[in-house]
Amino acid sequence: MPSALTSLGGAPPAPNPVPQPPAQPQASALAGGAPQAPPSQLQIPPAPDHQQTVAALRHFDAIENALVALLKDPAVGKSDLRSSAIDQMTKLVARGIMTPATAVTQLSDFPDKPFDQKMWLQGHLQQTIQGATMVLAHHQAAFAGQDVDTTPPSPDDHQNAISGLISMYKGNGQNA
Amino acid sequence: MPDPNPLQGLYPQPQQQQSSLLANPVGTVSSILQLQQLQRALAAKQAVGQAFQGAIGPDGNFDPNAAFAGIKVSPAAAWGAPEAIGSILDYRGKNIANATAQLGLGLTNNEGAARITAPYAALGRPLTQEEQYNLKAQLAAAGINPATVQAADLNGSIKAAKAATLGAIQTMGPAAAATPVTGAPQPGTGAPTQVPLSSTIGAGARVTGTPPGTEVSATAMQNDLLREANYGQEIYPLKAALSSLQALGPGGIGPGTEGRNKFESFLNTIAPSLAQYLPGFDPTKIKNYDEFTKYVTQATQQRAASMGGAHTDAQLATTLTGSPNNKINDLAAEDVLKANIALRNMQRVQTLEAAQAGPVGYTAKASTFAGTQDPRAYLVPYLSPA
Repeated sequence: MPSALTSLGGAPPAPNPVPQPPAQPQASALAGGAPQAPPSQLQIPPAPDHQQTVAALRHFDAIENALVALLKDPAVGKSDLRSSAIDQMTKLVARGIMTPATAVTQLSDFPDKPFDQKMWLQGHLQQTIQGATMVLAHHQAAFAGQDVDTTPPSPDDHQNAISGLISMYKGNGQNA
Repeated sequence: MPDPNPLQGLYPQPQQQQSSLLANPVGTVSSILQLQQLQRALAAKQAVGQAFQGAIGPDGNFDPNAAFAGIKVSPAAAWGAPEAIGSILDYRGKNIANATAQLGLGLTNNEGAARITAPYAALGRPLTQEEQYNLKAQLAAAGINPATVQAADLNGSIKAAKAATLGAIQTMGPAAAATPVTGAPQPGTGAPTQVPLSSTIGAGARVTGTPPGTEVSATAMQNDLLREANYGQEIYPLKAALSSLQALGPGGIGPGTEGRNKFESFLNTIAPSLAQYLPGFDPTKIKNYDEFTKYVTQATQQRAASMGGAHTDAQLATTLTGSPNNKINDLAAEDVLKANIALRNMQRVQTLEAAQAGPVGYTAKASTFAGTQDPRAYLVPYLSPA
């Protein structure tokens, strides 16, 4: 099963509409006299707009449903659920939530031992719930009280929307 | 076999040896291990309990995400983590129910949220997953707690809000519920309306004023309709000028014709009986030329007046240049006259059509009309037979 936050480039930062001052640079950077990046390059990523937020909710919700379905299996923690996990992953790929390449990558991370599988599923469920809440909080922090474009995004364009969101958050990871 | 000494029971008996650590070493070790496990379990339960306790917010709501985080960072909770996480899944379900109820209450009391939810609630059917995602994003942007929005089942929340609305109506009684209050103005006309008080409960802020731009649109419609009241006076000079021009025939107007016409008019005035013998002299043409000049001047003045506001020399010069007159070629003047008539007719149709949308939507309708019409269509009645 996929790591919801990993597939989105890691957990989004805590919502904060006011850009924080850059963190203290590393001592090695100071010692080397390397030119420091201007503060503008250390900003938090742009907040997801309405369409990206909807796409993220769709993404997290689909993954949460798959994880909950596996966790509700009476055999969880006792028997190997790899085949069930593959089934759930196949459904996600069929719905266009995930690309086949991502699915293979995520399945390779699925543990072999039943107990580890249960812990893995629980941990990813936790991340999924947190991820959806954080994206909503990030969207709220940036757009609260504003007149935003609420045109519903097409589910057929889910992959593009998620790719844009991943690029946005990964871009932050590279700059910060 | 009978007891040899029945009185033995009356004598003091030696004390039984108490079980010691050395008496049953295996059982003792087992007891110690059990005690250790019990202590670890108790410590784990205490740590999990603290994590759960810390996940209860000031409003009394349980946050499973915070509980997860609390268990993760507590070493003592590791012993009971699997069971605790299993409980968290149960709490997750309960949290969804709590968030659903909480959001339902918020939809009743929060005008912004109610306004966003109203179109979805009016659908009269359960929301699709996509509609729920859209609504969740909108509610978050409206300031509703993201954790509540994320966890809530919006269909349940809307149902709860409707139930609360129904309860409020029942509480106020039928007479109070039927009290008329100002409603949203009629679309298009902007006419005021009245709705029963019950229909406004839980529907968020009521829009009782006219939309932005209504005043400008209404003013434009009144001005244009006033102009259309003078349509006959405006179009007559143009049509009369066209008739005069067509009666003059080829070469009737153009550079130099003004002097010739003045000379012929002068001769006709002082010696009409003599002038009729001059070659090419035609009193009818003198009349038509003067009429043409008079009507195009009148039409030009009306065009200048229709522009409104303060007039300037440059504005008047531009109007003169763009209007037909006796100094341009007759072929060009005829085309320009026909174009002016066609454009004026198109403007009239536009005004009358847009006015049907009412003062609120007049400018929007007028702007749409202009883009869908071809002015050349209004030239058809004035085209010469092929």
